[in-house]
Amino acid sequence: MSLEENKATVRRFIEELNKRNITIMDELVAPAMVHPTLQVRGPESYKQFETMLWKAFPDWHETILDMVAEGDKVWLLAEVTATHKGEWLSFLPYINKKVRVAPTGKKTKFTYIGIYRIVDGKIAERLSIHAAVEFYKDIGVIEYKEVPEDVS
Amino acid sequence: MSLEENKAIIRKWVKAINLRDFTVLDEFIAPDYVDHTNQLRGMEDVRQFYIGAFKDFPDLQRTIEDIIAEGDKVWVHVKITGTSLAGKKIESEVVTIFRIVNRKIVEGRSIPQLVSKEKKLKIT
Repeated sequence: MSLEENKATVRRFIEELNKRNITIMDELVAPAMVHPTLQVRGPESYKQFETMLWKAFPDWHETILDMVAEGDKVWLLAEVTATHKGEWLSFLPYINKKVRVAPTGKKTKFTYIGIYRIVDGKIAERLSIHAAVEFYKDIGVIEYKEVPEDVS
Repeated sequence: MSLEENKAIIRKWVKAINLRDFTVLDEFIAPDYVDHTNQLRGMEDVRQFYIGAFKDFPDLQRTIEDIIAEGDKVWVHVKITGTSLAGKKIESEVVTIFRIVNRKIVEGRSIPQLVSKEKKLKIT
C-alpha cells in the first residue's frame, strides 16, 4: 500500500466514525489490532469502546488538522469537540484507574495525536497522545494541584 | 533537505538537550523560531525555558520512542522522565511536530500526554 493509500484509510476511518458508521470497524480494523492507550483489542472490543464513547458524548466529532505517513505508519493531529451527555466509563493511562462519570453537560475541545500502523489496508495498531488532564478538567472529573512540572 | 537529514537534526537536538549542551541552539534553532505550545519566540526564550525545566527537574531526560517525517515536518514521539527537587518522579509522553527549513528548526507544536503522576488527582 502506498503512503497516500494508508492516509486515505485513516481519513476514511475517522470520517465514517464521525458519521456513526460502526461497521467501518469490520472493514478497517485488523482482527489482532491493539490500542494500548484505550486497552482495546480487535474490532469487537473497539466497537464496544466507541459505542460507550458515543453514549457519553453523542456529538463527539473529530477534525483532522494534519497528517503524515512513512513506511507502515500514519500519524495525525486532530481536534475533538464533544458534549458530555451520558455516563462515561474510562481508563486513565498512567493513573491506571477506571473512572465512571455521570453526565455533566459540559463541552470539551482538545487536540490529540493518533499514531496508526497500517498493514494490508487495515489498522493493526493505534496509540493516542493527548492532554487527558485538560479533557478531564473540562468535564469536571479531576481536581489537581499545579506543581512545577512544565516538561512538555 | 532529505527526510532522513531532517530527522537527524531532531535526534541531535534531543541528544544535545539531554547532555545540557546549549551550543546546539545556535546550530539548530532558527532566530525566529516559534514554540506554539510554550509560547516561546527565538533562541533566548528556548534557552530560558530549558534552564527553568532543568532547575525544577535536574535529571530531566528525553527518549525518542518514534520519529516520522514528511515534507518539511518531523513528528517525534518522546518519553520524558525526571525527578523534582522534592524527590518525586515524573513520567510523561509528548508528540512534537517540528518544521525544518534549511537545516534550522523554525516551528514546534507539542501535544503532551496526561501530564504527571505527581498531580494531585481527585476522581469523583
